[in-house]
Amino acid sequence: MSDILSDTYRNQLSALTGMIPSLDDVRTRAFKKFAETGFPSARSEDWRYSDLKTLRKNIFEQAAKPHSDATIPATICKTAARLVFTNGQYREDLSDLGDLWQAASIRPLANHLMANPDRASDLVHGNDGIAALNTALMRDGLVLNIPAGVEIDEPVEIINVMSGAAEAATHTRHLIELGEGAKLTVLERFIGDDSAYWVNTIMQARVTEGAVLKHIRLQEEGSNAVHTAKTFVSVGAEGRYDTCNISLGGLVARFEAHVRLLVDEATANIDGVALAATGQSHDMVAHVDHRMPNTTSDQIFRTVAEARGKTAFQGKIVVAKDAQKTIADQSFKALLLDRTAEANAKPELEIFADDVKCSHGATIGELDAKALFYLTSRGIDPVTARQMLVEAFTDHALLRIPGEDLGDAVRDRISAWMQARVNSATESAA
Amino acid sequence: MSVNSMLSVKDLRVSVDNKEILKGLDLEINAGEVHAIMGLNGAGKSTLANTIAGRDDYEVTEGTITFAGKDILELEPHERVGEGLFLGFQYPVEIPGVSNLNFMRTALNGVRRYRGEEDISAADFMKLVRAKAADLKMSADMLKRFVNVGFSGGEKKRNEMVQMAVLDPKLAVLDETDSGLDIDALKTVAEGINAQRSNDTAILLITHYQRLLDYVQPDVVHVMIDGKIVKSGGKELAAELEEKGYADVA
Amino acid sequence: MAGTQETQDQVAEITGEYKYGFVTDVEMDMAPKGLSEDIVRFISAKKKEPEWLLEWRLKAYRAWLKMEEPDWAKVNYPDIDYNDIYFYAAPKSQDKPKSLDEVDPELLRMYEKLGIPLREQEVLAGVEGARKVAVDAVFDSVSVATTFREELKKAGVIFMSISEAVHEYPDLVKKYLGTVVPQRDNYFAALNCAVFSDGTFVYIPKGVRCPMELSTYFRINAENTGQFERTLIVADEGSYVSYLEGCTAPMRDENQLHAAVVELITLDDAEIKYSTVQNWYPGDKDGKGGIYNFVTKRALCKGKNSKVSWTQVETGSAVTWKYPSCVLAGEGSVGEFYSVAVTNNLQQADTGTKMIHMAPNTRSTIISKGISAGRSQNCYRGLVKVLPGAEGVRNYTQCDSLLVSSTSGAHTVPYIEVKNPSAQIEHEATTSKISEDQLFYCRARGLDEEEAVAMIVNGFCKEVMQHLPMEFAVEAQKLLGLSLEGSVG
Repeated sequence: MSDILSDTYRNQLSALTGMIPSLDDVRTRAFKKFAETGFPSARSEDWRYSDLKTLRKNIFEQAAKPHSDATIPATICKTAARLVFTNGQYREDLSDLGDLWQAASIRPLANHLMANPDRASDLVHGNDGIAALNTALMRDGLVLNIPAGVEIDEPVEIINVMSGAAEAATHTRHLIELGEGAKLTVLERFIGDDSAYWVNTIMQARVTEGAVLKHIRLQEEGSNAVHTAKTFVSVGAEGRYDTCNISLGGLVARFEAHVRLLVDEATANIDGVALAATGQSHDMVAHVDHRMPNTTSDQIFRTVAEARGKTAFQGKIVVAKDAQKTIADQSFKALLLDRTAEANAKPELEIFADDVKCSHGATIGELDAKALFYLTSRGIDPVTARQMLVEAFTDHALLRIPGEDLGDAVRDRISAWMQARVNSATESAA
Repeated sequence: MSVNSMLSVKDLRVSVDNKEILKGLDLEINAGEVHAIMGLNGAGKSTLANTIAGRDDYEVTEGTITFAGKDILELEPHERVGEGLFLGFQYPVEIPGVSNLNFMRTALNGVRRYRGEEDISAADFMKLVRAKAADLKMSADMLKRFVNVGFSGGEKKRNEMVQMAVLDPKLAVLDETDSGLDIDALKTVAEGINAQRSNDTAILLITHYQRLLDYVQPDVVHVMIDGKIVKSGGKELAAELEEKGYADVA
Repeated sequence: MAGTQETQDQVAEITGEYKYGFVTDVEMDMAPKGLSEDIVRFISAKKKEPEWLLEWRLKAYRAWLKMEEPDWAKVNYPDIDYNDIYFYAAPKSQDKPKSLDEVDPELLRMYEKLGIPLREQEVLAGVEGARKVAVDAVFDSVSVATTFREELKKAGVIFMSISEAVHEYPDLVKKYLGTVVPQRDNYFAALNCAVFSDGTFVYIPKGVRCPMELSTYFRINAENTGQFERTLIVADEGSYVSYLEGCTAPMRDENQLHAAVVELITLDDAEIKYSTVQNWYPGDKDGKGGIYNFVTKRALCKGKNSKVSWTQVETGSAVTWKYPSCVLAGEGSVGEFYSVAVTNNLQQADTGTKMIHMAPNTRSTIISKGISAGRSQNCYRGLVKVLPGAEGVRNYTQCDSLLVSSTSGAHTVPYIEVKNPSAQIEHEATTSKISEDQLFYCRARGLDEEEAVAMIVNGFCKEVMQHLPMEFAVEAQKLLGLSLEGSVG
């Protein structure tokens, strides 16, 4: 890493020092790690399919508040609460807590840590330079606690809107905890303009006994953005974590789910869809750690790439020695719509217990010509037929999205993406 | 125990996963006899069969099983086969990659070695197995296929009968061998069982229908309820059961 | 039955422990321990090599000095002290045997013990007519004897030790050596390039179907010697050859290094079938001793519609690091990889393949079966790569793992990288325990537990074993059972 780069981030660290005293030590240690490792290069095994040269070449200052108020898009489904961030900072004035505050505790990260300095030790330091920098430079985030037995029916939306933040970054950290038997759906949305910004976000969640956390991520960053996101989740006995990551925006986008199934009968379902338009790169990582017996996990990922689009999936299932009777499955399929599209996969199994059933399947190819012909022979025009097939292809990964509204909203976006491809193809043909 | 006792089960108590399934079961079978045990699902019939064959996880907490005068409880499953025991499975297992022929020859040689006999020559084995397969109307093609892989329910049971014929046991315990068979297959299987009958052998049929007993005449019929034999009688008992149901007979 | 009575009898004798663990008492000609430019020169001089080859070796040596030992595989072993290894060892008596009669009888006895039918009349004959196998035996570093040379010569087939080939066919060797695995390819390949002592050279001329199966038995004998053999097989247009490689080593407390390089080249319409049964000493139950098997094997399917098929049964070695690969550069060429890897006790295996699809309409198949027993670790690692210009590529990959013990590990690390939309890539993998139902079924038919395990494992491996030549299949089947001994219960 260049000196200028490390000095810049060191200055950012200094600027934050003292603001949340209990974090100072955490920040210093994390920064030390970042200074040692720098940004992951494509040579690093875990990052071989994402190119972070933008981060290595440019300096990203902490994003300031937007000059003028950014337009906050409308909700896409009925929500229990709407928590708005602009340029990575929580906006109480724009948020709508609904009735959620009565049932649960919601507060900004800084308030939480000022009130509970000892909780700084909860913060995950992460596995690489990206996470280390997030830990060193985190400024804001939400801490959401759902008490035991409380079930929140409608999704809680957390939306971050980036506006006028060229060459600026936000490092956010959300902490979610579900008490025993609690139920919560989180809809995380990411929106931005076309400036070259960087969103670096981490969500930590603790799903205790019998609790269910559903986590839908709809990533629609601007076309020049870098989006790096990690989720660290631990699941207790008979608990469940379901997540579906829809990756549509950004120039370079990477999402990682790290899930640990800590107690018997814990379950994780990790799904994702990535659509890579021209020049985009989407990298999705799903890492499930089966620590105890009778735990179950399932992963369904579908990606579509068009001209010079690139998608990657790196799935890993680890079954510890004591995790007998584990059932784990992984399915990845990639569709390449153009000669210059690219798909990569690394579906990994690492198994140390013997009484397990683990499997994975991966396929990569283009649209099935036979299916296409079948549809057109029934009178469907080729463009519609292609669209139908792509939508059917991605749909497998969307089936666990809760609620019809939300599912439809996601499907609409996939249709719109396909429509945009068709339109641009027609324009260039004209 | 009589001099020609084949199987003698005394006060047998068996637990699976710490749950007692057989609760003091007694059974005496002499050479030359065919016995049928009838009972509803969950009565413990398959537990009895698996325990006689020596399956792990079936914990004998009390009682004895004496086969041809020998206590077999300490013997490994394959050693019991060597002694002359055969278990026909309710659900025969598929073993991909292993041909039926290879499986049967390895089994037969295992038994012969246990008895201190020479391995059978390849030619003699082929002669034997072809003859037995023909008796039971099993095609040569099925002999070459992988053990039970892709077999229909009836084919699997027929395969069990061919294996029994090849191994030629003293006592055959047939666990629900009649389930899932159409009438033709049932007749073929019954022929196989009848062919196995002799003064030196015995057969224990486990079933919950009378159907098979129309073709294989049992000497003794037992009624099993909740891990015990509650009633024994002649073949008329089977008809009575069919008519009145278990609750009334017992 | 398949295979020969001879092979079967020999294998049947095997009881219990590692059968091949005897040491042959032959006087050795050795270079001093350690590695330096002088040692490289010594080896080259010993073999009276031409200048170009010495320069080639030195270039590799200098490159090696700057390289680092790879650490990405899922294997752990203590650091290797490259200065504590004899890089050259040759049986002294053996200058250049004109015929088998001149070969040290001690050696011949060893091969007999190994069950290698070196003498012509002892050649294995399969059931279906007389199938002949020519054997090139590599004893430590020098190729001892080559049988059947005359008959092969008639067909125009060149089959000899690579050091002989350097003198007799310098142009061919020079043209192809290092073209598939370059000197700097990886740490162990570079080491091999610098110090390779002997190995096998095969050339099949245009349109020739090699009249017999060619076979090399490798054996590591001397203490503290690394074996660095090098195999180069060139199949000219329209030719075919089936090549068998068997490996054994005596039991020793120390670990021995084996870093071989195998290069295969197929021109238009040519086919090479390369089969390996690897049974190096795996170390004892506590992981003491055993071979480090760090091997680079790669095929270049250079010609149109050419084909390379790798089949391997890996039961030996303490640590295996091996990825027989195919670079599919010729249009319509085909790469196949069929593998069984069994690990028991404290063995570690990290093995798999790379299929690099560079040309249109190239196809590849990967079938891998891993069996982990004892406290071993067994990892499949593979890469399927489709380059932008390669239209119409097909790949099918299946990797299955079977766990025989609760203390072993089974890992699957496949990489799939596709840069052409017309590719159809399919990958499937499963990991499961050996089935209790199958075990009991077999035992209820009179098989003891070890026989039952061996039978189920052999069934599990069937799809791979059927690709082995008959003679090997029987031996390999027995080996599977043997290497799992003591893993049950």
